Amino acid sequence: MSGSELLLDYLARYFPVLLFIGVALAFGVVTLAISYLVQPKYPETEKLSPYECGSEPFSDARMPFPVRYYIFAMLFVIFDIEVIFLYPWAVVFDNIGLIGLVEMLVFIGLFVVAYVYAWRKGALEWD
Amino acid sequence: MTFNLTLSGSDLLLLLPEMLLTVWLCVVLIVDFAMPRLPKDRLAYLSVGGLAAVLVNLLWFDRAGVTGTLFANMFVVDRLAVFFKLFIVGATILIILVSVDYVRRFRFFKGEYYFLVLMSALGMMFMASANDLLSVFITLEFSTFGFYVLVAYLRDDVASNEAGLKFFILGVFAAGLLAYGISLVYGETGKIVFSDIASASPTPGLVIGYLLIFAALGFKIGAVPFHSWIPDTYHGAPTPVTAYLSIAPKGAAFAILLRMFFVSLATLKPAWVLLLVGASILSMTYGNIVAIAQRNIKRLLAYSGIAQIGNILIGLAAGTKMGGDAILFYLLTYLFANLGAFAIVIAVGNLIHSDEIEDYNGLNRRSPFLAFAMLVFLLSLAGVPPLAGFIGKLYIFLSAINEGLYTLIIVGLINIVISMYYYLVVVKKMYINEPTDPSPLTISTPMKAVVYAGLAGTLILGIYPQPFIDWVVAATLMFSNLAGHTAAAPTILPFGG
Amino acid sequence: MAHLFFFYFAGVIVLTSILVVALRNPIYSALSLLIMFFHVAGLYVTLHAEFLAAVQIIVYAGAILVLYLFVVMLLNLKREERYHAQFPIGALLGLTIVTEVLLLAFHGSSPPEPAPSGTSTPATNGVTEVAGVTDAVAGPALSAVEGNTETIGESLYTTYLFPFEVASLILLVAMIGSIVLAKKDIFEQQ
Repeated sequence: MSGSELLLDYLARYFPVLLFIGVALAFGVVTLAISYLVQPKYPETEKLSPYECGSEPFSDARMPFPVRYYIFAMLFVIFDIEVIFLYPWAVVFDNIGLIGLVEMLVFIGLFVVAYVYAWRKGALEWD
Repeated sequence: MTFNLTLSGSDLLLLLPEMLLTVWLCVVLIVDFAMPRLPKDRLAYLSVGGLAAVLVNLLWFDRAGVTGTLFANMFVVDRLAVFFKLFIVGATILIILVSVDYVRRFRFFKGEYYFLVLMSALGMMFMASANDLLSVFITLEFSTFGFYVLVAYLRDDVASNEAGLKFFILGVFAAGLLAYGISLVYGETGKIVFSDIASASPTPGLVIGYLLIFAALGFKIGAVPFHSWIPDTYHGAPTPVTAYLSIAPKGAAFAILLRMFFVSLATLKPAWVLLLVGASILSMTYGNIVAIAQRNIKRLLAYSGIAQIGNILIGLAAGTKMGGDAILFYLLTYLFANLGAFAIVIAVGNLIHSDEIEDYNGLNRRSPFLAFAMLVFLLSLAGVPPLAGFIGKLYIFLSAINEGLYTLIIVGLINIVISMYYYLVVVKKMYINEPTDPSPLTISTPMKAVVYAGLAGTLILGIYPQPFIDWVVAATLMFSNLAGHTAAAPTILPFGG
Repeated sequence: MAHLFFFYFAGVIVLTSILVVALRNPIYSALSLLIMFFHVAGLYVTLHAEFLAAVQIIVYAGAILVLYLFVVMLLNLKREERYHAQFPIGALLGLTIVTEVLLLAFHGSSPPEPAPSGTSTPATNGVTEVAGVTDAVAGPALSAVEGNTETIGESLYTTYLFPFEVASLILLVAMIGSIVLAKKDIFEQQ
């Protein structure tokens, strides 16, 4: 078999992923398309203007975001990196056995300390 | 692929100091959040207690000669690593003691300060043991992360935020250079362990790779031309952090520089001597000349630190075992003198809330003890006998003379004279000028302990250096093959006699 | 056919990268960055770097991009404020990269210099032979039955155990550090 055929053979294993992406895209497009097609359309100036409790809108919709969100995003990145280390570990867990478990327990143990710290200090609370 | 990893008890023993410190810093963090009512000063003493245990452990390693490598040669415990770990742990203990009064002024996150200091210490201990390029990268980043936070610790203070941002951006840039250099070296040789890449012949890619790694480490030690972050970062950071930053990471980075230049690049010495001679001359001259114009004592010490790093680079440029000894000894003298000087800056700053040199006017009237100690530390930094700095400079110059680096010596001697000037300006202000506010100054016990430790170290290393010289000579035995007086000397004739 | 995948992913990456800098609304820029991340992950899959593809999606598309979006929304960038007179720098960088591409195109077919120690130089293959990229990767790597993730896992948890554990310490200090620097209004509970 040539290289290209091997590659195709290999990529064929990713067909479910492709299918999934297709379904996800189709879901979004189809729902929007259906609602666009079946909705009654009687446009008027008043109807099309933004509604803000009856009063005239007076500022831009894009407001600065509270900085509080940012710390959640940062903590999320850190947790995400943690997950990345768990992923190959889970794949090879059968081979590495007990010592691998101990390694990961040390790894997660340090992380739990940080997690409990964040919890106790209120970093995971809104205010 | 089969799984093969064996870690015996004796292997784990090599990691004992680091494991102790890891457990201890977790304990400090847990105590901090589990017992919010506990005065945060206690956390400082708790941290010092843990560090003292690590220190005892390391002293035992040193006496018993515990050596070995772990994790496929990534982590090495040898006399050199133990020396640098003792250096780092010692510096950390003193820094925590000088921080106590300062941290009390923080509005929040007092406990985390000690935790982050311990974390940085742990990272630097790992750096001292890093024996391949991958562990160099990861341990260097680890130790720097703690400092990024510590430098920007005063969140209400614009200068501290600016310092943190500058340090962070330039630090990340240096990390990028380091990663790029490491990948080039790995791409050219296919190996990462220092002793394995020693045999590689210099291809263009390898040379660029090493230059990039040197640039990143040069950033870390603050050698010219990689010094641009130093003044603002030292100025804006909380003063104890500045003191810590000016000493411990330099030591840890020199552990890596020594391994890289004296192990991986030993055979290419003629090629890099000129590079180090240049960096050394630039650092000494730039640091000393710019220091003259400073009005702020922290900036003055920042520039004097750049110049001191230039002095230490002389030992690296010598490229012999004696050069290595001299670097280690110089770092010891620098630890006591610089940390002592910073301790006084912190003490005075805590009392009068100013770091301007003008405000040191008449310090002798206000506190003869502080003024005398500052005098000793500054004279030691300048290299006046019989203080530690004199022996350190003598040692490092001798190692260069043996290699025929006469130009470097001459520049070094001229720079000593320049540095004498600005150190003595501070001394004059302390002793001759009249104080604007003659009220006496008193300092707390932990601060006094650090000043006494600095004085003791500076005097003992200056008057009776022999045991310490024996110690550093034993610590660098691994470089015995670089005996000196070699054929390499004539090849650097442009800088020779 | 195999080339088709490469050119599809590469084409979309180029297109979305241009959109990231060309779109006036920063939110749209971030979203085209998201599409780019996914296609980079696709490219990694064709190169048999499944683990990198997973990292690309989980970390970059999942977390880093959220961080970007939050920064954009935090700063509330106005559309017109993003552009400054940076043409000279851009032109210089562009010229450099075009030169590099041309150099690679004309010299890329020559064999890479032999490595000094006789080991393979993984970095030089694949990069220089852009046109033959699929052939270069479809060679020996495919014969291995076990995936790239498994190989990474087995070396990460044995040979590279030390960096792995240090990484957990880095995560610990990063977490505490981010809370110390970014969390507002935590006063010590007295």
